[in-house]
Amino acid sequence: MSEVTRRGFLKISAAAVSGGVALESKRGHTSTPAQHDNAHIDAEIDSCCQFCQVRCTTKLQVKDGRVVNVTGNPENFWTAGTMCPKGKSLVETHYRQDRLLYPLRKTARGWERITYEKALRIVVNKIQGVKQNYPQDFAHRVALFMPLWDSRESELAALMALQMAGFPDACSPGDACIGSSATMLNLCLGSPNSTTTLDEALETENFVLWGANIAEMYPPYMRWVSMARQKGARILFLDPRETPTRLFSDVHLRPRPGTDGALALGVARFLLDHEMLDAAYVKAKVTGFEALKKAAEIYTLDHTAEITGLSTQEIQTFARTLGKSSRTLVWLGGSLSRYTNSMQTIQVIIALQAITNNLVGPGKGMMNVQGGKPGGEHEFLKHYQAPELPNRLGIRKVLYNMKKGNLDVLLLNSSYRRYPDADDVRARIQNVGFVVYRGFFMDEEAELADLIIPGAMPFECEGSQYGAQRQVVWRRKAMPKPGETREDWRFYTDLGRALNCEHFPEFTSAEEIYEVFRKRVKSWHGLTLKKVKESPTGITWPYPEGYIHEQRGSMFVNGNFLTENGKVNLDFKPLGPIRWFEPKGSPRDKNNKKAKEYPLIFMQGKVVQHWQQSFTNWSEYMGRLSRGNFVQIHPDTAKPLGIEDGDMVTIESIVGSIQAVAHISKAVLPGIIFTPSHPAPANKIKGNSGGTINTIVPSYWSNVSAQFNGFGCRLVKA
Amino acid sequence: MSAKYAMVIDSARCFNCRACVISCQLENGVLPEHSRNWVKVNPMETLFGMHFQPGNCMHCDDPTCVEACPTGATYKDPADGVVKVNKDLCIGCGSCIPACPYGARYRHPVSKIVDKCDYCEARRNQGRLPACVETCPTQARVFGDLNDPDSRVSTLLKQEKTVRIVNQKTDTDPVMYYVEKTAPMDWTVPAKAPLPIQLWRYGAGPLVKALVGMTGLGVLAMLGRQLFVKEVPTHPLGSDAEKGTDAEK
Repeated sequence: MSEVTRRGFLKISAAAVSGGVALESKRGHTSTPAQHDNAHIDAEIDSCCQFCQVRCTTKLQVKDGRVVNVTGNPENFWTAGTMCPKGKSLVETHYRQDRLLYPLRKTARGWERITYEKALRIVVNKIQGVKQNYPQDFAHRVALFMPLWDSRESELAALMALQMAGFPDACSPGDACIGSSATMLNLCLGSPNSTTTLDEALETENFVLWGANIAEMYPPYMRWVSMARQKGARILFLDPRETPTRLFSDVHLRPRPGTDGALALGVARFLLDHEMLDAAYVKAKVTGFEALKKAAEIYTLDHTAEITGLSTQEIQTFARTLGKSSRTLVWLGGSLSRYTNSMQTIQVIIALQAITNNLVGPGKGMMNVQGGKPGGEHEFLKHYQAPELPNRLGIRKVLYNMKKGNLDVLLLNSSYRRYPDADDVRARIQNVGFVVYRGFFMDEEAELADLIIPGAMPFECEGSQYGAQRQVVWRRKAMPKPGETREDWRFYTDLGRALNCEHFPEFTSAEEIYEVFRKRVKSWHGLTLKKVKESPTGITWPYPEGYIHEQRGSMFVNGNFLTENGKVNLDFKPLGPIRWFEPKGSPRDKNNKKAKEYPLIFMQGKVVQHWQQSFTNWSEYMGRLSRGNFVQIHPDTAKPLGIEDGDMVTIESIVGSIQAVAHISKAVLPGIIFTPSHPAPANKIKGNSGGTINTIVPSYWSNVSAQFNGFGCRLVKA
Repeated sequence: MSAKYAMVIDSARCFNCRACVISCQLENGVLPEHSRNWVKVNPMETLFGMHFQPGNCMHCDDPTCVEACPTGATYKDPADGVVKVNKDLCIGCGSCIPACPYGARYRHPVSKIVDKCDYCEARRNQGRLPACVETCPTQARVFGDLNDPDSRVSTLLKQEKTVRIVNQKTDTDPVMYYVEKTAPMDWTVPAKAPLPIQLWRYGAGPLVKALVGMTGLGVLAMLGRQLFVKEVPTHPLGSDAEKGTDAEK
C-alpha cells in the first residue's frame, strides 16, 4: 500500500466508486444503523463494586441469565456514575473457563472433586479433631484469614462461626497494611474512622493529599479533588513519586519514602516558632501538647530538609500554608501506614491538624480509607453469647504459631501474599496441619490448600458493604451461582451450625443477618434494609433510630472527641515519646549494616487496573492495560549501573529477588525505585503475571502493621 | 433538525485510568486485544511530567473510511453526524481500516466485520451517554450535539480555545475537539489506499473507465447524430441517397 494525500485519496476513491456503479444504489446513508446486543437486556440490577472503599454503586445488565455489562450508577452522590477499570473487569472474571466451581480435595493422585457436603464434613471433622486432641488448649490452633470479597454479612458469619466454636484468631486482611492509621485515629480522637466526609473538600482552603495517590487508588474521588480545586481549594500533594494525582495538584512535595513524620515535626516546630497555632484551642482541646513541643525541638528547617530531601524553602512554604489556613483537610494515604514508623508519623500529622484547629468544622478534618468501617461487631457477637475467649492473636503471632507447627487448621479466605516476606509466609502455611481455601481460581493460595471450597462471586450473591464515606450499600444478586460454589456467609453458617448447632442461628439469607445486626446495634437502628437498598449512594453510618437525614461532615458534632476526656490525645505511654526514626532497613539508617550492599530505597504501590493480588489479575482486559513487573528508575540511578530503558533487571533485597523491566523515568527520585504491587505468577496473563513483590519485602513491623516500603534494595542488570 | 454529535476533550483532566477503554469494550462486545477508543501517552518529559490524551473515532466530516468502503457499509449518518458501519453491508474486506488516519477501526475477530466507535448508539437511543463519557472519573470527555447551541459541547467550544488533531497529508475534517493544550499531536498516519482501490486506479479502474468512456462516447455520438442530423429515409443505395439529399438542397 502506498501513502496518499487527501486529494489523491479522493481521486482514487472517486475512480473506485465510478467503477462500482452497480454498488452505488446500496450506499449507506439510508441503511439501518447497527444494533448492539447490549441494547436489549432483560434486567438491570443494583449492585456495587467490591474492590476499593469508594464502593461505587453499579447497574448490572443481565441478559439470558448472564451479566453482560456493568456501569456506574449515575445517581450515586460520591461517584456520579463514574467508575474505574477494576470494577468493570468482573464481567470477565465471573465467566473464566479456569474458574473453580466445585470443591476439590488434595490427594496423592492430585485434586479430587468432591461434593460440598463432603467438603464441609471434612472441615468439621478437622476442627472437632483439634478440640478433641487439645481439650484444654485448642483456642489458638485454628485460625481464619477473614473473607474479603463478599459482604459484611459474610464477615460477621465467619467471625461468629470461628468464635462460637471457641477460636478467637480471625485475622483481618487490612491489619498488615493499613492498621496504623485507623489505630492512631482511634487513640488520638477516639474513633478509627475518617473524621469527616469527602464533600467537605468543597469547603476547604487546603486539601492535603498526604501520601495519597487518589488518581490511581480511588479514581472516582478525583472528581471531588477536581471540584474542590475549581472552588478555589489548594491541592497539596505529598508523594516521593510523580503520579497522575500530581496532574491535579497545585503543590507537589517529594519527601523521601518514610520521612513524612520528620516533615510533620519540622512543620510543627515552624508553627510553634512562629506562633502559627490556635493557642486557645490547644488549651481547651489538646492533651499531650508539651510532648509534641519537646519532640519538635530538634526539627529545625535544616535538619528536616536533611532528612526529607526537601529544600528548607519548600518546608517553610508548606508550614506557612498550613499555619495560615483556617480550613485544612488532610487525606492520610495508605502509604503512610506502610512503614515501621507509621504510628508516630500519623500521630504527628493528627497533631498538626489539632494545633491549627483543623479537626472539626466545615472544610476541616482527617480522612483515611480504612476509616469507613462502621462498628457494631462486638454488640452483635455479644447478642449471640459467643463464649468468653482468650484474646485474639495478631497476625504475627498467628504466623509464629504456624512456624512452630502449632496451627492445625487454617481457613484461608484471602491472599497470603499481602504479607511481607511472602515466601516465608508460604512456607509457614505449608507447616499448617490442614488448609481450607475459599478462593476462585487455582492461584498461589490454592496451591497451598488441602481442600478448596470455591466461593460465589459478587454478581452471584447479595449483601451489604461499606465504603470510605462510612456509607452502607446493598448489593443485589444478579444471577445464580454456578456449580457448587457458596457465598461466604452460607459456608460459615453451615460450618457454624455443624460445629455448634445449639447456639448458631440458622441464617437463610444475608438479609436476615443484616436485619439481626441492625436491630442489635444501636448506631445501625435507622439503617433499614429498605432505606439502604433504595439509596443509589448508600446511607452514611452512624444512623440511629429516629434519624431522618444522614450525618455527613464531621463525626464530632458538638466538637467533642470520642476519647475519654473528649479531647485530642497526643501522648501515649505504650507508644513511647513522640518522635521520628528512619524506616527499618532503610539505607539511610545509621544502624543498618547492610546499607552499602542495598543502597537504593524501595517503593511499591498499586496501579489503577489492580486491587491487591487477586481477582483483577485474572482479567485479560486488565492484562492488556497493565505492564507486569516493571521498575521505575531515575536516569541518575540507572546510568552508573549500565541499565537502559527496557532492560530486564533483578531487584534484590536481603530476603529475595524478582525480575522486572526497567523504566527509566524522572517520576522517581534518584536513589529510589518503584515497582507495582499486583503481579502474581499463577494467572499466566501477560501484563498481570509476574513475580510476587512481597517476596522481596523483609518482615519489619510497626506496633500494628507491616512495612512494605522504605527498606534498602539493589538493582542488577539481568 | 438533525443532530451533529461531537466530543470536546479536556485532556488535562485525563490521568490514564482507561476506564473509558474497558467501558467501551464491555458495552460494545470488543475483545481484550482490540479497542474502539484509546488514551495516548505523551512522552514523559513534556509539560510537567506526564500528559494523556483520550480519543476515539473523530467522526470526520470528510471521512476517508467512507470513501474507501466498496460496499457502502461505512457511512456518515446525516441524522446524527456519526460515522457508522452497517453490519448487513460490511463484507469485512478491511479497506477502511488503513484508510483511517487515526487507527479507529479494526476487524472484529468473531463477527469478521469491521467495528468502530458509534458513540454508543444503543445507549443514546435509551437517552444515555456513551459508555466512555459516563464512566470517566474526571469528565475529561464531554459529549453532545453541536447543533444544539445550549449543549455542553457547544458551550465549551464557545468558551474554550480548542484544537483538532489533523494529519498533514490526509485532512479528514475531524469533529473531535481538544481543549487548547493537548499532546501528542503527531501520532496520526496518512490514510493508505487499500489494494483493491489501487487496482481500480492503476488497472481495472482505468480500463473500466476507458471502456465506459468509449461506450459513452459512442452513445453520445449516436445521440448527437440523432439530435443534429436530419433523419433521412433509408435508401437501398446508401451514399447515393445522401448524395441525392444534397442534390435536393
